[in-house]
Amino acid sequence: MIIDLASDYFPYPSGRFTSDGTYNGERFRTEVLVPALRAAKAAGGSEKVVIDIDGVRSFGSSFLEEAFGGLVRRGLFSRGDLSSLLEIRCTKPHLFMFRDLIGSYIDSAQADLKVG
Amino acid sequence: MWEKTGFIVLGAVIGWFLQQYRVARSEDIALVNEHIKDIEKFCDAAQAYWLKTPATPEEDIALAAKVRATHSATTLLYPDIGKLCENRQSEYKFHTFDLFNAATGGQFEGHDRTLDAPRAIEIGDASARLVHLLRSNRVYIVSMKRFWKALVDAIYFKISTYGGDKNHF
Repeated sequence: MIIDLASDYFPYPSGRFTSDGTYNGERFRTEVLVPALRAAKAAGGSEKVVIDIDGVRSFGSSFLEEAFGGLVRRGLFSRGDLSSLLEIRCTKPHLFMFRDLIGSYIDSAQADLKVG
Repeated sequence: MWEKTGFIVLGAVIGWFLQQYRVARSEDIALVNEHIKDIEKFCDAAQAYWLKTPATPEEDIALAAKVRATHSATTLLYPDIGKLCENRQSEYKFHTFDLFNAATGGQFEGHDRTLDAPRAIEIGDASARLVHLLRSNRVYIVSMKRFWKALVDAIYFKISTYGGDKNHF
């Protein structure tokens, strides 16, 4: 499954929580990422969820950390699950940094036992 | 006579190659300098953002837009500068991520964000560390050590490619 972040969500995603604006990280995680990842996991992980970030011009770390780091931090998926189910697609060199950052947020997120 | 001419030609060829190498490295240094300027602009915009409690939502949006725009300029050279940092590439990534997280983390673009002086200091600190790394790495970019490494790598690549081609036959 391929999700084009710019056309399927918004080209200028911003903010961490729902209260911060319409196209925030929390909403992207709960409405787009989690359902897609759960479907991929239910299918046995035969198909990856590919997030194409090519159409997005820039991100804030608040959005990226909440959307992607939040998957691990809130105990929704393990890092192992995400490495087999999630792929970030990016062909534009100026967006490579965001691809690397998403990986670092997932790697450094600690599952919050109080949540989830 | 021929021996002397041979030395002159050889010297001229080596001199030409060294000159070309020097020109290419000067362009690399110019790229690093441009990157440092972009980082400084990003740092200024981010500090302006965090050192003010916006009076209106529009003002907050305008300040955040400037942070995003100045950050976009820094991302354009991210892959090239990473390559130029070579053995310090992981350090470069670490400081770049650190600056980005300080500038656009926390309640960035949040509806109830307020002035955050410690974050502004953190941004200045992260920026200074990144700029220092880039400045200190400029010496390595023009060094002969890098020249020899590039030469050895190029020869090794030629040999390994030649070996690979041979296997096709």
